[in-house]
Order: sequence, then C-alpha cells, then structure tokens
Amino acid sequence: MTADGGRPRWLARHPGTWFIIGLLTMGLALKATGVLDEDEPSINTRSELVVLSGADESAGRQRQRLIDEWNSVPGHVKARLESLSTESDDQHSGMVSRAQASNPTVDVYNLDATWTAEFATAGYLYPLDSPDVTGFLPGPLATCQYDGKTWALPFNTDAGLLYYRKQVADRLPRTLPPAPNDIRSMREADPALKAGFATPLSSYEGLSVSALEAIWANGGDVYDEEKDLIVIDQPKAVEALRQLAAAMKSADGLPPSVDPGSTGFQESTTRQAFQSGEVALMRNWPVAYTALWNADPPMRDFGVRALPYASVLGGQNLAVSSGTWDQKAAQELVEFLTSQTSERTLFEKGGLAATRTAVYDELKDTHPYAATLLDALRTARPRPKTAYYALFSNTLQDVVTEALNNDGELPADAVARLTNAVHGRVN
Amino acid sequence: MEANSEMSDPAGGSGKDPHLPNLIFITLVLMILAGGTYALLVIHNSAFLVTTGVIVIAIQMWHPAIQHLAEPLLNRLSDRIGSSTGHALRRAGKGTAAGTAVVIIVSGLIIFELTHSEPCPHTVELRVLTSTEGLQAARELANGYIAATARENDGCATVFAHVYAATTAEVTSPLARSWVDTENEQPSVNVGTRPDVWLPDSMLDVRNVYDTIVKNRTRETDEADAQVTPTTTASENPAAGLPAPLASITSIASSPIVLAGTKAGVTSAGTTSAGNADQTLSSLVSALISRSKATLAAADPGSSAAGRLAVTAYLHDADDQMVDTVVARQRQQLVSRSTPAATDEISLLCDALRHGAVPSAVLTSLRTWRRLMARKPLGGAGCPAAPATAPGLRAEPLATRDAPALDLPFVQFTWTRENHDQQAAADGFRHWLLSSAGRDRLAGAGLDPPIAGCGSLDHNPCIPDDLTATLKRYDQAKAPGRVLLAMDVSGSMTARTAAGPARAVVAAQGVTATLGQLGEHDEFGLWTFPGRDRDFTELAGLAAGSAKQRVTIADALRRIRPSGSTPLYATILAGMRTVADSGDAPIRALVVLTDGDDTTSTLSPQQAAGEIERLAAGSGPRLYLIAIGEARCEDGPGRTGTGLHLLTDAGRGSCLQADTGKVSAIMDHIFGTLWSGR
Repeated sequence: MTADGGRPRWLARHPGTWFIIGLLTMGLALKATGVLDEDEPSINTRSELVVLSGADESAGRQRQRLIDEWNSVPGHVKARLESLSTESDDQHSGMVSRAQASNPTVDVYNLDATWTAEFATAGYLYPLDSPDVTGFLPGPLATCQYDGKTWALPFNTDAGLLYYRKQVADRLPRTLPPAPNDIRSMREADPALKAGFATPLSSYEGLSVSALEAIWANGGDVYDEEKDLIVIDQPKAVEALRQLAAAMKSADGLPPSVDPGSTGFQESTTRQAFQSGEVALMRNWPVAYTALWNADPPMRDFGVRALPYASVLGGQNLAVSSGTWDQKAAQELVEFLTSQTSERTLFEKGGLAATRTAVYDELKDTHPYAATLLDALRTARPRPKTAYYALFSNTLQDVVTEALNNDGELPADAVARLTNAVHGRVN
Repeated sequence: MEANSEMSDPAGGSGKDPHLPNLIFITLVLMILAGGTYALLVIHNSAFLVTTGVIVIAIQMWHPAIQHLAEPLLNRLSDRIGSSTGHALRRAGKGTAAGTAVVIIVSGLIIFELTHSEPCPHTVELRVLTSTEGLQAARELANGYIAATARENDGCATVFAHVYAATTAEVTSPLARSWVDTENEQPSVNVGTRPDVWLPDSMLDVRNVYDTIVKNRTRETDEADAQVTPTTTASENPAAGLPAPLASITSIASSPIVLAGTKAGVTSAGTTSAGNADQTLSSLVSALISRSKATLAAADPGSSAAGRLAVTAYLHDADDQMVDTVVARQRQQLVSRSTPAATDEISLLCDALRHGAVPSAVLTSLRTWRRLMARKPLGGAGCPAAPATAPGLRAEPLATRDAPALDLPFVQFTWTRENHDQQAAADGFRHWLLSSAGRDRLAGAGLDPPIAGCGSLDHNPCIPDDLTATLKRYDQAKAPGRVLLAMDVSGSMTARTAAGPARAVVAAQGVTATLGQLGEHDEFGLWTFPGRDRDFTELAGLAAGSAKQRVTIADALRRIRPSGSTPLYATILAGMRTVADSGDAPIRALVVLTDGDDTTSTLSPQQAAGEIERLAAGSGPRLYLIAIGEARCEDGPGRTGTGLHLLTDAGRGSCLQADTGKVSAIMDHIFGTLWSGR
C-alpha cells in the first residue's frame, strides 16, 4: 500500500496525510484496548453509603453508635457499616476483592494504616478534596498521606505498650529483651517465672511488628525509603536478630529472656502467657488492657508503660472508595467520623486510641493511662510505605522466621527477596 | 515490519557501492526478525503485542513523513563528512533512513518494556479457603502459583492469594447460602471473606454443602408452596449438574490414610515390609488393637475429614466387616484414650511433638505424615518441628491397598463469575495445579496425584461405601452412658454355684470383666442391696468412668459380704430416680442383678411396675434385670404377673435369665443394646 504508483495523486502530493492517518489509527487502537479493558459502567442503584470495616471491637460498639448518630441528622445520606472479620490479613483480602469487583458496592474503607499506598496507587480511592487536617497527631496523619496527597483521615491509632506484672514493677529492665541480670532480678521477685518477656513471633503481621521494633531498638532498620534500599543486612539489624534468637535460649540456669513459645504467639496467646504468669513482661497493643481487665478471672496486678524503644504505629484510616456513588457525602461522613467529638467518644467509651491531640488533653485527668499512650504514640514509627505492603510483610515474616530458626543468621538471599517484595516482585 | 524490504530496495539497486546497501538491508531484516522473535518469546501479554503491532503499522504509514524529515538531515550530514562517502551515504540513506528509524523506534520500545523497572501492576486478589489441616500445604501451592504467574510476567505476580482455613462445620452452611449474612450467621465476620476457591480435604466436605443446598432449596420450595406462589428454584449449573452456588469440582490430588508411628507401636501390627499390599488398613488396625496395651491415635471425625476416613479403619474388623456396637465402643474408647486433647491431625501431632514424642501408632493422612517426617511446618500455632532423630521412629508408614483417601477437591463457585479477573485467577490456579509444575508442587507439599473417579460426589472410590453407616456406629459408640448397677447381696447370694464359689463372687467377677466398656465420657456407679441400715449401699457413686473409678468399683466388688433381705423394689425406684437426676447423657440405665424377688416392699409388683413406668417415661432411664439363681424373668406357670419381666417391660428394658457364670456375657449383651441406642 505504500507503493507510490498505487496512491492517488493528491496523497502523493501530501505525504503528511499518511502521517495523519497513522496517528488516527494508533489513537483508535489505544482507545480500543482501553475500552476492552474497562468494565461496563454500572447503573447506580445505591442510595446509602456503605462503610466497609473490620468487625467493631470497641467497647459498646461505638463505631455503630457514631453511624447511628450520623444517620439521625436530617439531610444526611444514610450510612451502613458492613463488617469483615477482626483479622487484618482477612480484612485486607476482603477490601481488595471488593475494590476489584466489577460492581462497586463500597463508599468508605476503614483501611489499616499500612495499606494507604497500595489502595491509592491501585486506583481504589479518591484523594480527599482539601480536607481539614488540623488537630490530628502527626504520626497517624502521615500514614494517610502518599505521593503528596491526603487519601484518608485517621480513625483510630495504636501503639505498643509494655505490660508488666506488679511483682516486678521496681525491677523493670531498661532494654528489651531483658538482660540476664534483669531476668535474675525478676525471678527473685517471681520464682514461678518461665521467661522474661513475650512478644508475638508467630508468622503473621505481628511478627513483622516485633521484628521491626527489635531492629529499630538496636539502631538498625529494614527498609530505607529515601534511598529505596533494603538495609536489613546492616550490622545493627543483623545483631538485633541474633540477640532475639539468643534471648529465646536459657543460659546460666536462668529462664530464657524471651519466651521461646513466642514463635507460636499472636496477640491473644501472648496475653494468655502473661496472664498465666509464665512471663513477667509483654509487648501488646492497648486493647489488651481492657481484655486483661475483663478476663475470667480478671487480672488486676499489672501495669503499663511505654516501651523502652519506638513502637510500630498501628491504627486505621477512613478513605473514600473510587467506587462511591456520592463522593462528597462519603468525604463528609469520613470527616464526621474523625471529628474531635467522634474521636473522644471512640476513646472514652470504646477504648480506641484517639487520633486527635485535643482528646488526650481533655481526658488526661480522668484517664491517667492516656498520657502513657500519648507518649508511646509520639515516638511510634510507621511501617515501611510501599504499595506492596502485604507482599513485603509476608516476605519479612519468612526471612525473620528463617533467621530465628538459625540463631538469628539472615538467609543469604534475604536482601534480594525483600528488595523484590518492596517493589511488588516475586523472586 | 515487512515494509522495510521495499524501503531498502531502491538503495540496493543503485549507487556506486551496491554491497553497502545490501549489507545494511540484510542487517536490518535480521535485526527486525530477531527483535520480533525475541519479543514474541518473552512477552506473553497479548494486549501489549497487539498494541506494538498496531504501532509498527502506524509508523510504517508515517514512513513518507519520516523519509521527508530524514532526507535533509542526511544530506546535511553527508555534506559535512565529505563528497565520496557522503554520496554513497546519501544514496543508501534515502531508502534506509526511514527503515532505520522504524527499527530504532520498535526496538527501543521493546527494550524499554523489557528493561525498565516500573513498579509491578497491582495483583488480582484470589481468596482461597481450605481446611485447618490443609492450610500449610495450600499456602505452599498458592505461593507456587503466584511465583508461576510472576515468571511469565517479568517477576511481577499477577495474582495474590489470601489462604485461610476453617472447619467443615463452620463453612458448610455459609457456602450453601452463598456466604450471605443471615440472622444466625455472619460468615464474613466469623469465618472470613467470601472465597473464590475452596480446597477442602475430601469430597465428604463438598457432599455436606451439596446436601445443605438441596435441603435449603426443598425447604424454600415447601414454604413457597405453602404460600401458593410460583416456586423458584436456584439456577442449575447445567455443565456439571451442580446446584448453584457450586460451579465446578476438580480433584487435584490425593492422600491415603495410613497407619504410622514408632517401630514398636506399629510394626507388629502387620508385616515388617512397608508395602503391605496384600493387607487392608482395617486388618492392620485390628491386629494392632488386639495387642495388650495397644494405643491408636486418630483425629476426631467431627472436625477432620481424615478423622472421618480413619474411623472406617478402626471400626471394621480384619475381614472388613463393620464391628458390632460393643466392640465399636471399646475401639472408640481406645482411640479416645490414645488421643488426648486432639481435634484434627495437626493438633494431634503437635500435641505429641510438644511432649517431645511422636505417637506410637496413629492413623493419619500420608500428606501430614510426610510433612512431619520431612520436618516441614505442620501449621499449628507454635507447633515444634519433629525431632531430627526420634528413637524407634518408623519413617515409612504402613500403606495398604484400597485405603480410604483424601481426594482434595478444588471447588469453584458461581459468584466468582461476577468478576472476570478473579474468575480468571481461579481458573488459572486450577490449570496450574493440573500442569506438571503444579504436580511437582503438590508432591513437594506431601500429596499424591489424583485418583481416577475421586472427583465425584457419588460412588467415589476414595470414600468407603458404608461410611455413613460407619459414622453412625461411631456416634453410637461415642454417646456417653450413665449406668448404675445395683447388685443383690442378700443372704441367698452366698449359695454356691455349680462351679464352687458363691453366687456373689461369680457375679462380681462377671461385672468386673465388663467395666472396661466404660469410657471417660461415661458415668458409672455401683450400689448393693440390702444396705446396712437402709435399703441399699452406695459403693461407688455415679462418676466418670476413669481408670480410678473402675479400680474403685472392682475393689468394692471383691469386698462384698452377702447377708439380709431383698429390698428389690425400693432399690429399683431409688436407683432410677438417681440415674434420671441431672446429667444429659443420652444413654441412661439401671442394671439390677438379683437372685430373688422382693422380700420387703409393701408395694405389689403391679404398683412397683406402675411407678417404674412413670420414671422411665420420655427420655427416662431404662431398667434391665439380670435374673440369676431363683429369680425368674418369666411368669410362673399359671401365675400371670409374677415374673420380673413385669418390671422391665414397664422400664422399657429387658429381663435376662442367666446362669451365674454367664453374668459377664449378659452384661455385654445389655451394654451392646444400650450403646446401640436401640
């Protein structure tokens, strides 16, 4: 078709015409692939805002109460809370599946603080339209921001605390895991002690949290975001894992510094070990406080204080789904649920750590434990920001488990595996 | 791409040095061919290939324009280089400039696509539900599939699998109801997110879901009929003949139930060879059980598919006949004693490992045993690895022919069809599992290839035909009993039997011999009548049938010294009231052993029978009498209403006449009746 003889004369005289035709063809082809990829637009038949969240564990179901309150205001688009399980991995899968569904049915996601980057880059969210972010604690707010935009508002936050049995209150170690002398001293106070300290080391998100904290405590890190570099093979990080592995072995006739059973512990099993008196100290989230207090039999002879090192920052953020049928109303609902009044209700009545500084000021006299929590929150550090957090965290758990089973020695390909994972690659 | 040949053509046919353009032409063609072939080899994304092809065609269309632009540039270049080289260049260049531009752009595009390290696109979420025992293996399989999708896609996985576990009991009803919340069930909260793929251990689990769907549908139809509205039936899946939401079932692997353990524990059960191809699993197990002090651990059928299949092995005899209720109870209790604190295979083995041992004999799936032997994680929270060297451990289990087997169905649902990507990911997972790479992973996880026919709901060769009946027998065997034995120790029991010892002694030995039938779940007590200062004496109150209780009773029986009258009615009435009181055991009975009729009561036999009937009504305890010596079950000749059967008829039990020496056999018979729930 390019043979000159076959062309009409006007075309030969205007070679630029071919250029235009080519351009049009290419444009059409690109458009066609776009159309083929895209799902058919669904007809909106929805009339209420659906908030998808992990099951409400707050005392007295305060989240539902806030939704009820929103619904009671005339003129508000009605909202409904849809629940997933309490387990974070399951919530993630449930929310991603709903986000990928052909038919959007969610307006607001209650996202774990580590998922913002993933949901933002995957196009599951609308960035918030000039939200008012004054008054939020800087740490939790930072987990809502990615790529220069605010994608969510912090609903509740979380930081690990050090729980101790009252017998050892005056013998608390300065560092964790406790040194042999600390163990000796604590055992004098509590001869039934089987180990000093327990923290979840079972292969789930809790292991990522415990490992990050142990490495940070020793001055190391796992991922340098600025340089986009995995640094878990640096001496301080490596040393931290060795110490943790060594701490699970008993020496000099003393109980081990870290309960070796921790490799099978999640949050609840750690709490049981603490409550049963097997360990004198544990790392757990604030929610364990209420759980111990309301346990059967209830536990009273314990105290909490900030960890001797930076905790991992937990918490959940409310974000507007890109599948919402009413973006404006959805953002208003997010703003309402994270307002100072709502945050106060969630903290005071529901036991969920508030994301606004003012709430802690208001409650510092009536809730002495609020000050401890605020201290922990101020120093808490976010987990690595990556759009592939789930893959990264799973890989970190594998690597750390292998290391702990091998006296803390990292597997040779640890850096390669984590580097791939942080970029969404599988080996 | 083919357009380049003609672009080079004019250059090839003219100029001072005709070889140069030919050379350029050939090089160009080779480069394009090589580039195209490479692109086809590495790029599996057809959308990308189509787009690239369209771009190439578009660029070819621009060729005159590129030529138009390139010509003056080349002219200027050749002017600078010098006239002789420049002249040749100019001539060749005219034709090839455009071709070169095309090659550069196309190869540039391909190289960019291949080398630039753009972040991976987001993965499709695939939710995989499995059994608690299969969790670890399912995770390994899912990871294998994820890695396979990444290999074809430049290291970027296209699928992320969330693998989670729940028991059959937890998922049957939610799956049958399409995972929708109801008043009583909130599966999304209590079990987990709705699965795209279900990987249970056995077709038995799928059968449960199937039956529930059919049952629900029948009920809905009935309700609809009652309201005289048109009936709506759930849409059939015509391809597989499955009711929605079941869309497809494919058996992806198998794993037989084997007898494994320590050398001392299992070897003498059968041959010493690992093959045992000539024996059935039940004959191995029967041989094992017949040994004194035998133990046999197995998972609980209520929470484990492997446990359900294992029941078949220990509730059949050496000839593969189902054992009777009495033997079933003995065997069930043996397994129950050997398997403390166990629900499924994983908790069974982990519990043993925590005590630093492996069970001396265990019925388990070969999958789980292989994983244990390979020191792979079993999946239990905090489950220690098997000891590297366990003394006396027999690594090879005793495998047998025709053993029941897990058939690992891969189940997909109609609801996934709503989402094209997730459906494709689920289909892709299934295809991969059936590919050779998938087979390797299945073997690595401890699984065997699928067995022909084991993907069907009915007549599945992996599942014994009489499993339903076997499980019913198991339930009977497991039902706790609450049995009170009242033994006559009146003066007449001192009478000598034909064999020599007193009746009381022989009867007591008979009772002692049957105590072994009582398990931990059972309650058992012993009274004797008459008592010292009242109608009866409580030698052992009703209590769980622990070893201690059995010893207590056996000791008490040895010490009885018969004397006094026979307050039979008073003892029966008090005994029945005691058994009826409290406790929710489904099997409750009073067994009375007597050698004569009542000698103290003011009640007539008919009055006593009336009272007994009242106590036995509904789910009240049953009354059994063992009549020895002078006691008579049947009416005397011409004396209607004098036999003891009058009492047991009222008590919904039976009266059994026995030689004193046969007490043990009669007790066995009574227990057999009791345990069968008849």
